[in-house]
Amino acid sequence: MSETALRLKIIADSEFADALKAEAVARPADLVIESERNEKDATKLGFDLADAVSIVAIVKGAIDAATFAAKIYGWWHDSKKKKPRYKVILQTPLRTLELHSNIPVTQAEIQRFLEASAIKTK
Amino acid sequence: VSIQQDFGGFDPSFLGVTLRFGNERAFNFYKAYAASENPLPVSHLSSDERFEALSITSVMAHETRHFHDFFLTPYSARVFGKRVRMLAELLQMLPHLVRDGPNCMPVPLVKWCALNEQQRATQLQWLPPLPDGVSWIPVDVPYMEIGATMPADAMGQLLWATFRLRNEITDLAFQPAGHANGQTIQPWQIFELPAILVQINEILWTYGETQAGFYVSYLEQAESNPYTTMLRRTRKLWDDRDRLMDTTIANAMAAWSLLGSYAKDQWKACPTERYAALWLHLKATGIPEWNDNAGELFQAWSTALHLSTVQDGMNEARQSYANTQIAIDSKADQLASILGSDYSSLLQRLTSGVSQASQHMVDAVAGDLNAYIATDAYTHSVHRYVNPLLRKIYDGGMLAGLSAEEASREPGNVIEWAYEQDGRLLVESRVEPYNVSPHTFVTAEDALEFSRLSALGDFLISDTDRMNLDVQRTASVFFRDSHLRPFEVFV
Repeated sequence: MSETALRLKIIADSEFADALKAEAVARPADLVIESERNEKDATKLGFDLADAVSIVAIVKGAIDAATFAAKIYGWWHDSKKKKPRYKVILQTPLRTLELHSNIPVTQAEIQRFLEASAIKTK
Repeated sequence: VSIQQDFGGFDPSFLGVTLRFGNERAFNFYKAYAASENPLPVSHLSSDERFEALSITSVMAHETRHFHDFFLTPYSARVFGKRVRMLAELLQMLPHLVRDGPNCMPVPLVKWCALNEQQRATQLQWLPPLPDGVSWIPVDVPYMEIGATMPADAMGQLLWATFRLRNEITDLAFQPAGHANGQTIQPWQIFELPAILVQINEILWTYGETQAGFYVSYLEQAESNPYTTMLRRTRKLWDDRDRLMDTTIANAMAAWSLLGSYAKDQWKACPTERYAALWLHLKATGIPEWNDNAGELFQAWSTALHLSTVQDGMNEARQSYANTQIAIDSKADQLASILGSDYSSLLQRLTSGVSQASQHMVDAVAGDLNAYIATDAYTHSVHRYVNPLLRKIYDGGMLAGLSAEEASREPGNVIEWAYEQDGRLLVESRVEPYNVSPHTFVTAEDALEFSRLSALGDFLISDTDRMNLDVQRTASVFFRDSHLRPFEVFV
């Protein structure tokens, strides 16, 4: 059976980033944080906050696109309930998906986005 | 109810003002407001909806102030000049970049060029496989270390010049000292202060003190936005003395901060630096009363702080815009020989128009400084300043009543983006006639074409502005019919 992997960049606030990093700690074989840096002036990326975090992660092993899409959707949904203008940027090498509180995005759309950029590793 | 809080935007890649409608309720209110002879009632609305309605009715005043400040300030003139020069360098590279052979374009190029062969191979490994076992072949650009000296080859030199200009823009736009404890005060935020003061004044004139007070209170309750940050910080000077903020003095503080001369003060001309110096000075010495003499006030601040005058700043802005025009004129033949005359003519017309607009603004403002500083006088003086182009963006082309066919029949409309849905072409953005003054220097067609070029430049080069929707959309159109697939470099 073939396995897939995905290299994903996520730009978000620290709350979303913390949730992602906690997942990586809980499932080290399946989710690897490759790099992390603070965006020095995130307002230029359209964020309300001065500080946003940019994380490059490898998603592989037992996490499939559906599972990971559900995670992302959950973190996103939880955070946007607390903040009036909330935004997360998901980026794969060939595509960008912006989750914005003004523009509804479904879990299925996130899943399709992830699936489109996965590569086979076995 | 999902409330849209921000309806405007000024980005000098489009030389006008932009109104963005993100929901149908907001657009319907705007339409009704524009068609009505009297202000529409707002007091019956819920708090959120009232804020939205007041924002809609005053957003043009806010964005128009940004537009006017753009032509007056050395900061804007420097950033614009570097952006145009960067674009000219990039355009010269474009034929080489899109030639046959390669099948993918790593973006932003600044990151790709800093990767060695092995690092580049790692990036390519993460691209999905192509049909028939075809390999990904990226465009051929040289390895270039950060801080490298200028290469000997022509392509390397163009890239080197482009990256250098990009770094210079970053240096101008980001003030490291203004970023601390999760809060940031950057030059662009200083520009927000006069814009929000003018906007509040517009609400005051249209709806009276109660609604203006409500608007300010609502803004201040917001957890974090650029307007709140600047308003709070500025108002603290008055709060500490148990006084109400004088919006004209606050506006004067912003104008003085924006109008420093880099030629005379180097980095101390940065708007963040000037604002901080002035804030501390006023905290220590007290806040002056407005005495209808902005020139005297500005001179006193420049003398006390040993910094350049507002007139120095405006003269520098005017000269800087003129220099950009001269630089583009001198490259016109070279650009035309590589790309044909369309792009070089566009850049020539555009930089000439901007230079004339700056000249006009400097003359108008220097001729009556008080009218630019006193917020109510400014509102009644806009007919003397440069006329902004007005672009409206309807997120998702949401309004079925706005088909491209209908919109293009309306005189003076120029459609920027439209898309097909259920057999109809729906308008997503267009430039509409807007005539608050007779002084127009750039056409809608040129402004839109320059906006597209800038967006393409940002997509290929920039690692910050690339997430902007206009940038992504322009790039997707540019590459749609290309043999090259763009891919993001993750570092």
